[in-house]
Amino acid sequence: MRVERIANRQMGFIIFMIRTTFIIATLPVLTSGNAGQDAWASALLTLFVTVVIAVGIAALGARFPEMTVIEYSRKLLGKYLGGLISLGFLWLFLHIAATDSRLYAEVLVTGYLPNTPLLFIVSSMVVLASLIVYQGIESLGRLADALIFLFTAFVIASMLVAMRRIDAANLEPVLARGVGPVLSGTITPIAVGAQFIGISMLVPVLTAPKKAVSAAILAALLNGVVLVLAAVTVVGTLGPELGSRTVFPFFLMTRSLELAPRFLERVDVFGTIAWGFGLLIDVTLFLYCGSRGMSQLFGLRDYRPLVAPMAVVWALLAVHGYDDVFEVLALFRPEVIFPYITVIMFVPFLLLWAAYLIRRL
Amino acid sequence: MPTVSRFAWALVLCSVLLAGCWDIREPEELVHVQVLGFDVDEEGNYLVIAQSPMPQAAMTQSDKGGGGGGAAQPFLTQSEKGQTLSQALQNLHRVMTRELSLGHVRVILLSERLAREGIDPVVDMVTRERQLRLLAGIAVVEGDLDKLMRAQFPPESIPATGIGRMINTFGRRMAVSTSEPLLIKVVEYLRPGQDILLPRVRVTTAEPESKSTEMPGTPPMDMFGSAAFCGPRLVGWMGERETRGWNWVKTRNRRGLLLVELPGGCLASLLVVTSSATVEPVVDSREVRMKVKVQMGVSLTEVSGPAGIVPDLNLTDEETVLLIRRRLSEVVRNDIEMALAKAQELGSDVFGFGNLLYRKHPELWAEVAGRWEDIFRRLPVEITVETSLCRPGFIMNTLRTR
Repeated sequence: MRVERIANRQMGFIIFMIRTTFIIATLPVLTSGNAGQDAWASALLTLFVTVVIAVGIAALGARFPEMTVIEYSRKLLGKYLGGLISLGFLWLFLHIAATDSRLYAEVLVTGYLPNTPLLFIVSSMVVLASLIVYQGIESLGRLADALIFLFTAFVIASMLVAMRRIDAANLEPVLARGVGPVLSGTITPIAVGAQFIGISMLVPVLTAPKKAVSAAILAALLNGVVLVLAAVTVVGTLGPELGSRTVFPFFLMTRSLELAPRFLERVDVFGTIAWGFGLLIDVTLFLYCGSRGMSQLFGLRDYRPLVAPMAVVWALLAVHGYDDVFEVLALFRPEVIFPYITVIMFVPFLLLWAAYLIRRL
Repeated sequence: MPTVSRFAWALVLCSVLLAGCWDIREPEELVHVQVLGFDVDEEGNYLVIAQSPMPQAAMTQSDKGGGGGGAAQPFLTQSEKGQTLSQALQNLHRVMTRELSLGHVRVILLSERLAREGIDPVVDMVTRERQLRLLAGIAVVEGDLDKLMRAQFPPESIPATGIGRMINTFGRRMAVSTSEPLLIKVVEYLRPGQDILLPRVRVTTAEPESKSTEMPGTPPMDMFGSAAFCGPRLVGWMGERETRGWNWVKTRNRRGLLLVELPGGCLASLLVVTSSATVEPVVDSREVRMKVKVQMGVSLTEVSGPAGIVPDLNLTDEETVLLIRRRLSEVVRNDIEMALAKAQELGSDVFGFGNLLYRKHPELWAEVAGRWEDIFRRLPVEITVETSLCRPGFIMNTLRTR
């Protein structure tokens, strides 16, 4: 059976796009804590911490270049504890994709398609994603190659248009309330660094698995830069008060801008399309991670038979896992998401690292 | 992929993609609102007035040779009441044959009564509503809003176009008025230590559409100064010079014509070409004052004198240029002082001095925020004006007949 491979570059693109998509979705540095006008500082701190998270995940993966996290968990921690941790990771794959697609469906319903059922929007995305997963990981790599230019161009275009409306007064006073509010704005985006777990499933399919760390660092750095720029443009345009009270701040910012009056006004289309591209990559990646991980956990030879049933579960969880958008956003409250991600991902990875280092001794 | 599997996927795709569109909105069933008016009645009910162009009626008029008595109006103005703005908007469908689309609203007009009661519900609605965008302009109407929205606006066949152009063109460009998109006003509205200033529209000679379909000579409104708010409530009007003074400090609308009086009763018309300002809070032993410095460059566009006689004006003479600059500085300073006096009288910090203090001295702001209105009313402001005559126009000296 031919082993499918993607380039390290493609993994970098994938990780950059899924992380940036989340920034476009909720801008958690502004909306989750009370950083207010200092959201850019929260973004800067988040950048450093998420680089560490990306390195932690990629470096461990690079030490097991032929294995996914599902496989080396059991090797390092034993059949039962490793299996338990793997189940947690599988749940995380499912939960990330379901939540991200629900958020996208919510913005489409809020901004454009109020009468369209969430199930339709989510299903469209999941059906497309499952087709790509069925075609194999190489299709995802090529899709990332194909979309990265438009994705980046649209995100940059949105921010460039916003530059005209940035009012420096919205970014002041600088750090006047100390570091507490700044730190409060970092908790959720750091916890959402859980998305980097996708790297741990991609390392064995990379053309150069041992160089996964550099691709991960680059993706995390670029994503961090976008996060800082997004924080500056959104706060500079909407102000800290309006920005932090908005459900989708980046989206509201682009809706409130025009490139040329009466000539090119609806620039929100750039952000929304970029978000759609990123979400497709996101759902595809985690559907792949989920089905592949599940097949490895239960000893199946191929993950493909699992794709369709898992896609159904994905779509249903996205639609029925949350009663409304308030419930989705409640998940991103620092006091909810940080303990959740700590238990399900950060602690298991620390255990894996500890087990690895003990074995090396 | 096996054939059966491909077929299954195709079936799934078809069932999802061809199932129909839930948000279908046929263009011919829509009416695109361009101007929205918000008012409130004595009982506290909100009144929404919506004006939309009716292209079909305009086409009918042109087919009949330009309209005339009995021809259909190329616009539609409808109003309805409700306990909330959204309900009033919804109620408009009772009297409309088409579905309202708010995606093209260019201007939102507020009645004076609503503005005096408070604009919180308007801010809430325009930021929350799905179709409205914060790109629209906003103004307060002094006079009968309903009458204004039903009047003709020559030379525009559609009043909404005229209203939009007057507010968005004149208001955004001339220093005697002010007009900015909703986004900027909403952001300012939410800032600590900042009150907002909205454009003021005066209803002049508005006649309801039912009285005449012939266009009168001038639009039934004018832009005159601005409306000053204290928090969510309108507290008073600022005149043209006061609004101009505000513009010099806030450096918003920098275009404008200033007249300065020169010796011999001669008037020089000066067009502002550059204008900038810095405002700096000064804190001395917990006492606050503001230092305002305005720099302005003007171009001479005309010199005129009494009884049609233009006195000699030699711009190669340094003394003459200095005199013009000095007089200009006085005019600008007077504008600012008038604006400041009015704002302090109204207790409306439209200059955002409080916000500046919050940004530059947040610890002091925390102490004074609760009593800022009182402090603002007697806030000492030092004004420095520097002016320059940048251009003389195409001629240096006055021309005379021999």
